[in-house]
Amino acid sequence: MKIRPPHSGVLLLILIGIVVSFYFLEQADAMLANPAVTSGWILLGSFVILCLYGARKKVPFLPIGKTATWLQLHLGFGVISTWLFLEHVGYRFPTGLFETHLYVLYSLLLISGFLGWLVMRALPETLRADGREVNPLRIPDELAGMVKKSDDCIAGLEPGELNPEILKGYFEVVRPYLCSGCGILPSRIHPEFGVPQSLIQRLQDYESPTVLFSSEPFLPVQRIVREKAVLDLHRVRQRWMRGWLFVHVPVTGVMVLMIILHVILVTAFKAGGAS
Amino acid sequence: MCPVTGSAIHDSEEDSRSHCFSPEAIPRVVLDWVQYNSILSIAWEECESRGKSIESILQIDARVVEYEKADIIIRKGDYGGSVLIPLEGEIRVNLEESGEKNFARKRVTRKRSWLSALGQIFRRKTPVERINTDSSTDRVYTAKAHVPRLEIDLEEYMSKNLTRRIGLGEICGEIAALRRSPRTASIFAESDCKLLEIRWQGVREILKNSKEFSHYLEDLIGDRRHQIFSGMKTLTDLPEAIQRTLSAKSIFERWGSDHWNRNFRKIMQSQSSMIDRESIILQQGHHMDGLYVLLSGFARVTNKEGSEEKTVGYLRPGDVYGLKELMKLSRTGVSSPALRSIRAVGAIDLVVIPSNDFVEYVLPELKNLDVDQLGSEKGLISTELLNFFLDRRIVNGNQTMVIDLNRCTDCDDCVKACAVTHDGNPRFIREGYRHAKLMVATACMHCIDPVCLVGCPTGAIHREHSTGNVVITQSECIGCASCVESCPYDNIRTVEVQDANGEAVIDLETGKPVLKATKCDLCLDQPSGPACVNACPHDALHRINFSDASGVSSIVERITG
Repeated sequence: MKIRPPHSGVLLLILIGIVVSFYFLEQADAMLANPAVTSGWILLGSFVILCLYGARKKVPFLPIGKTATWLQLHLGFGVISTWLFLEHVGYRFPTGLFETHLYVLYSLLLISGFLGWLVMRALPETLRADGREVNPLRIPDELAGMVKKSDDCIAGLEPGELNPEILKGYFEVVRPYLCSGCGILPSRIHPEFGVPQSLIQRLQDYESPTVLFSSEPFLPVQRIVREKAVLDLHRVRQRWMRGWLFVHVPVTGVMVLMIILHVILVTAFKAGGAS
Repeated sequence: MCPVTGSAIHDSEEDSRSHCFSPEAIPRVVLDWVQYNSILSIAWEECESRGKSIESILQIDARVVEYEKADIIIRKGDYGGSVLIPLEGEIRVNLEESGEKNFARKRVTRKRSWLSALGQIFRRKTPVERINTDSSTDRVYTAKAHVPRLEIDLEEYMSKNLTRRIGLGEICGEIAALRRSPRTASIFAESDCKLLEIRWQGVREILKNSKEFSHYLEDLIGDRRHQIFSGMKTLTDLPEAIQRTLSAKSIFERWGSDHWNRNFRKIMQSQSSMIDRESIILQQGHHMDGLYVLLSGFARVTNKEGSEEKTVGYLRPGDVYGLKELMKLSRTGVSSPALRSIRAVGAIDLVVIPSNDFVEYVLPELKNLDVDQLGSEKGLISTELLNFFLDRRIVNGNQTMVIDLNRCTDCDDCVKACAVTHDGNPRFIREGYRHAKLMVATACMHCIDPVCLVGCPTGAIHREHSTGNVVITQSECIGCASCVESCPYDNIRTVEVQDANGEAVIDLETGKPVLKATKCDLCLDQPSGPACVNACPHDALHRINFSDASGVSSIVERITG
């Protein structure tokens, strides 16, 4: 699996961001200001910029730069905000309940974002490696077509043409497999038969896979099973490509609420302290 | 009753002319004047005798337009599908390149405001695309033309630049209108004037019914064809006198079939070799008789390697072939055989400037140009990819949507962006021809030779004057699907029309829903340009102009690595 390297502009942005933030933190330190407050405000600013990426995607018709450029900004600020977060908490583990929640949420956000970056850069190439374009919306129809085709193959056989054990294996293992989902992890494919290892193991209870897959009448079904395995691989990869967003986006929403609460609490305590 | 649709469902006179070029009928006095004083007089009787009166053609396909002194009537390089006949006043054509700077475009066409663009997010979405009857993309015609003006002293300008008056009743603008190519010269109003503007559908009708007019127009184009050179990157700096000499000495040729698009889909399905179907214009190794300049269409450049013809490049309008051979001739005095073969991809017009004339007239003017830049082999694109682009005629595209499959994550943000800018209905399909890691999506390519325009009876599908982008004027579209049939790439489709209440509009005669053609409009009215390109977070979607060799090379190189 090859991963496209990060854009050089992002690396530059990260460097500049860290240098600028570091300068402000040093300035604050020199003026004997609370470093957590300074880093907190810078962190809030970077978080706002991170959230703006989602808003930009909603308005593709505005001439405010390509979304691709915004994504690079998003990635750059994502890394900068990680460093700022660590600065903000003073490089220590959280102690209080609220702090722990923020810490966990931020970690989730960071990990899901990093995972997203990885899969977006690594998977598209592997997704097209077999030269096949699979539209996710058409997969259910394709699967239904496979089951029908396979049933037709079996129904078209002459009586006695297929070993009863093989038939039993078809109805108890192969057919349920054709109707089943793909899960979230890719199946290991048997190098010789081109079908999932798990299926081979289950079929062993009925007939030796070598006999089964060399049986002439069963060859069309084997081809369909292979197709299903390829389709499943596509589906798993597509799930990965979208799945991380199911964590990243909701966590961002919760994080926004937590940050607002955090700012209110800090301001309230500060005001209380002053009085 | 409008003669185009034959529809009698509308009541008012204005409505009955809704599919005609102008909402106002051509006055009798104008028609009488045109019959006896204009160039159309030679076709008048012949058309009558064939049962197709010019009067009826003009009522559908012509309009009277008024211009004020110093108005720019036609701007060189713009696209236009009409010819003009002066009725009153004086108009002039600028014959000199040096005077063109005064015609430079000063403002870009209409765009939405940011506020209006943002309003699209909240607009009602429909599950299946339907076009509202109160569409904002209607073209509004008025007799008074609202055009930019020459902001200079006209008398001084005319004394300093070579211009020629076009006499009353003469015809102009025919080259661009009939060739679907950019305007070859600028025309301005010398005084307040009135012109009869006939769109090319009307000219085509007259040509069909009058041989005399057809011959006249052929001769006229022949006489004015030196203007063709002025639109080409290679020969653009040639003085007017040399262009005239060259046009007299050059050989104009036409190759291939005019209707290549008709059977194109069938040929594609048959998967037979495209290269064998193409007419050979110049055979590799044969005597090189001159410089080949492509006027319209596309040509494939091939190199014979063993028994195989390997595609090494392509030519588009304005491209030349034969410079290397002719440069060798000029340096050594020995004529060089053709180093490559040229084949006609579809129908092409080309001009061959004889070798001796090239050496005598063109070469001295080319001394400051980098000859390699004018070559025909388009960068670093592989033979397979060139075959892919040429076999499927993708080189026709000025705005071909190409997707880098190595970057595309199937997020569909491009489709969603297109939907946001088109009332919830995307105007393209993120599927199409594939070659390795590259996919050409099913989206209008805004072709350099838009064959979809050919059959349109109302001129609803046309090119934007300034950009050449192919757009559809919804108020003029009668839903005949001629463009859908003509588009060899399946990039246009028809959709139902709905009224303000969201109800489908039914044709009272057939009882079926009224249809309109729809396709990618490049988000012409959006502040950002094509939303699909802007929306792609992974920079996987590109719009390629196949005229721009370096642009094509760089994008293809990036995609194919």
